[in-house]
Amino acid sequence: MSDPTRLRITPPGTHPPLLYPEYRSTQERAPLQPPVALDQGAEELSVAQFTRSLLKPNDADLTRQSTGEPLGQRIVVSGRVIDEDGKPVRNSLVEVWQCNAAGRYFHAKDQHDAPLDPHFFGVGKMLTDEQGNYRFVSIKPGAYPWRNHPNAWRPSHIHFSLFGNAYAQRLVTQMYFPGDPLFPYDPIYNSVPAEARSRLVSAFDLGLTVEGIALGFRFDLVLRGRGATPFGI
Amino acid sequence: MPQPTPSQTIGPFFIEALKWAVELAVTPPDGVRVSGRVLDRDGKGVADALLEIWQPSWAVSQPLPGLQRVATDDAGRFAFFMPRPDGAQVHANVTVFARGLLCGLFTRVYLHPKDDAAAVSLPAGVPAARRGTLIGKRSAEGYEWNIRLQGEGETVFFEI
Repeated sequence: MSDPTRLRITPPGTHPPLLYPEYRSTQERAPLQPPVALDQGAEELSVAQFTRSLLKPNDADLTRQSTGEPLGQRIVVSGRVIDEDGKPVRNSLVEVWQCNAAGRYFHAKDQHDAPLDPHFFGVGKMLTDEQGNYRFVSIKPGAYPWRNHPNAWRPSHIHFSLFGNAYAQRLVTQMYFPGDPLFPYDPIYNSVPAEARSRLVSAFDLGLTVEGIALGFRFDLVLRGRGATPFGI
Repeated sequence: MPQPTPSQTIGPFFIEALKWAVELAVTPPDGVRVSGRVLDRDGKGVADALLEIWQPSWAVSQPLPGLQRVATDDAGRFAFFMPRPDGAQVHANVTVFARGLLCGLFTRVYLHPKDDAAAVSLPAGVPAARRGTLIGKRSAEGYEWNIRLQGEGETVFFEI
């Protein structure tokens, strides 16, 4: 049955399982009971309205949030947020955060022995435009060690938080950089079904690259769509 | 057809980026405080969880109408506000993110005007034995409601 108002259930082979033992903290945190199906109503199909007045001038330029320039490789990250039906997700909040070029987060609990950069906080937010496009300027994040397993390192990544246009479209994910040699060793990246992993990897884009200034990376995101035939029917 | 982007964990280091919305939340004068802890398999507090509470028909005058965002403290404790259940039950939609959660989780909390858990009407499909995980209990300072991610008394999470 096709229902033009409801969001399609995401097909298997998209999201990671909640329990992925190689990512150790899932062992004590992942729910083990099956989820209960909930009908989508007005609350699930509406979303918080974020106005442009909530944005500060340099929220989308992470290299200009201090009194000086951060160290590292300047990058531009841009892409389009669409739904599974190819429709743009307009005027929708995108929040991003990342570590600095040395692999250290501006965060009280990050104890990694790498330097903080006094000019880089690694946080940003923006709204998509009428075509679903977003764009921000940053520094290429470094890789950093973590305690999940011996000699564990996270590949360079940027965290993304998206609200979409419906409560049930909410997505938090991570963007990676092409060709990272750490991919085979990272359980968070590999928790995603193999066929879907490449959707988390940005593409180098000469068109987005700003001559003399910053390398460009393209990262498109796809949220749940409405109205097509639900999976499995 | 474009293929949906997979989810990844929010990780432990999100607060600097997301706290702007935590700080925008105001204490609504007509609200009741709902507090509790996010707990793991071993009953230990989850110190790095983020909750988003979505009540689109309430608190429309806030800077983020209908939305509250709260982070847990070092003991896994959180607090947010709901309308007082005067006369009829109320519920809030709650999304849970944390390090160790590869996908965000959707749940709800219900409050009953007479604190009568058996009388709360819940979505079809919630197993009778697990009803209590979705119902706040009246406490000295409002209502208490815990989110148990795994194990004994695991909270009901929804697929929407």
